[in-house]
Amino acid sequence: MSVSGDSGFFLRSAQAEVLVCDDSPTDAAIVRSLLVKQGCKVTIARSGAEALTKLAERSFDLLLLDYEMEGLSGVEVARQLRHGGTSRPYMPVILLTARTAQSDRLEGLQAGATDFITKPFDPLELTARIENHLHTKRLHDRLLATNAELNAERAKVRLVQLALLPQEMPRIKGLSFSAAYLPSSIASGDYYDVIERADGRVVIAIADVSGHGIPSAMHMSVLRSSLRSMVEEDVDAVEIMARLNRVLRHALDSFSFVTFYLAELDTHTLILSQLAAGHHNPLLHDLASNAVEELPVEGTLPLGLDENFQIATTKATLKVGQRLILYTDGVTDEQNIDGEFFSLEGLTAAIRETAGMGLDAAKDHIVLRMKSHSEGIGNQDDATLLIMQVGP
Amino acid sequence: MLEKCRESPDGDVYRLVGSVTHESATLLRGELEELAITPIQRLVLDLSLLDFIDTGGLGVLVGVRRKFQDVGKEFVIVNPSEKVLIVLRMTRLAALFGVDPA
Repeated sequence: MSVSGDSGFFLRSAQAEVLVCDDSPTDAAIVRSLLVKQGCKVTIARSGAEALTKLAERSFDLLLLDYEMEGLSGVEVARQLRHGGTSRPYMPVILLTARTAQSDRLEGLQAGATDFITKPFDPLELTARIENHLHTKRLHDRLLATNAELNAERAKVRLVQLALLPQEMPRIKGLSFSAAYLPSSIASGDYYDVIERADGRVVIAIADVSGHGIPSAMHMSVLRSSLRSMVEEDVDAVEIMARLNRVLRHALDSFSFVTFYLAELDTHTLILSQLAAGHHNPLLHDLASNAVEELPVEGTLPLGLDENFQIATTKATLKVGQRLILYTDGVTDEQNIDGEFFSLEGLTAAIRETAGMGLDAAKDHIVLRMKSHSEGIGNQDDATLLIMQVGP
Repeated sequence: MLEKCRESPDGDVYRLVGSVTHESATLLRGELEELAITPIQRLVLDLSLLDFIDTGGLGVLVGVRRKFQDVGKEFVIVNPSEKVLIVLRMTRLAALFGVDPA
């Protein structure tokens, strides 16, 4: 269907399908000939019941209804159409009536009629009104088509993004990983990664781009490719953070930033060298004692804000039988129906319930706890969880 | 929600009531940016009645601060509630805004 540059007359480029419902053959014939001259394809129904049957079989672009009919009146038909459910595409309903009383018009409007033409009608007026309503109908249909296209695009963005996340965790002797990635909408501004360096050190990272949705997802993908190429080029962690800061300062507007936690684990000494830019401390779960503690990291501002970027490394030594839990604030900021946050306390409690569970089961349990907390409202922000277990 | 408290020679004081999330952040940003182009020299934003702010809201505060700086003015936040102070500390923005008592 071509779009004319003109503001109105789509009729000239595509045939509108109009259903005329009138129990008077003469009246129906008059209306039909007018509509055919306008370029419409016309179907006639001789009663309200017949009109409803035809409408159930297929859709029409416009319905012209005679008000007074034997059996179902035009108003009754309009009413039934309105209550028939909203899955029907938009269709203007015009009542043709000899009645001019205000109360009759009101009854018609309340029943769902879009417009009135008074009988006996002026052919020019009928034609003009029909053209206006068909124009609205075309706009409506175009909007639906655009929405469908956009949704298809968004679904593709989601697939692209999922492909950017680690497809499987690296198999590293003595370590295992489990992650949960929960976008709040189609795409997420959160990011996590696990990368093995050439020298055997393991890099784990988690990040949160402020905001969410597709723009954040795009920044997330820039972050990922920058990080991965720097790790491959053997750039050291402090320099990686400084460069990411520069990249993001240019990529982001002044109202966005990225919180980022990056750590490198030496698999022989189990020393974890951590860098945190605006990101909160990770948690350490000791399976034997079932203690959960925050691992304090001396951090700095989030990435993308300040050109003078300085960051220091905080070291910690991990032990076999411990799980390191990284998370984004979408986890702890989840609210329940009463506005209470899942919070660090809630997360800690959930973690402590997993002491006897395998790693993936533990992750699933934490996610379950988080989701049942926000049951009824669903997740309000992108939430991500990455757990690294030291030991078999 | 942004409310005006008072004007003073030391700067106009406004306060944020309720919460600022990604959804309301855009609106807040517009309101604060508009204030940057008025004749006021200093804007003090009181956060004592702010229950919750997420990274979208924080982004607005950071961006507005820069905007004010760009036009030679001052944007200051004061009295964050405990919850908000925790968030500011976690993101290390407390130091940037000078609200870290530590």
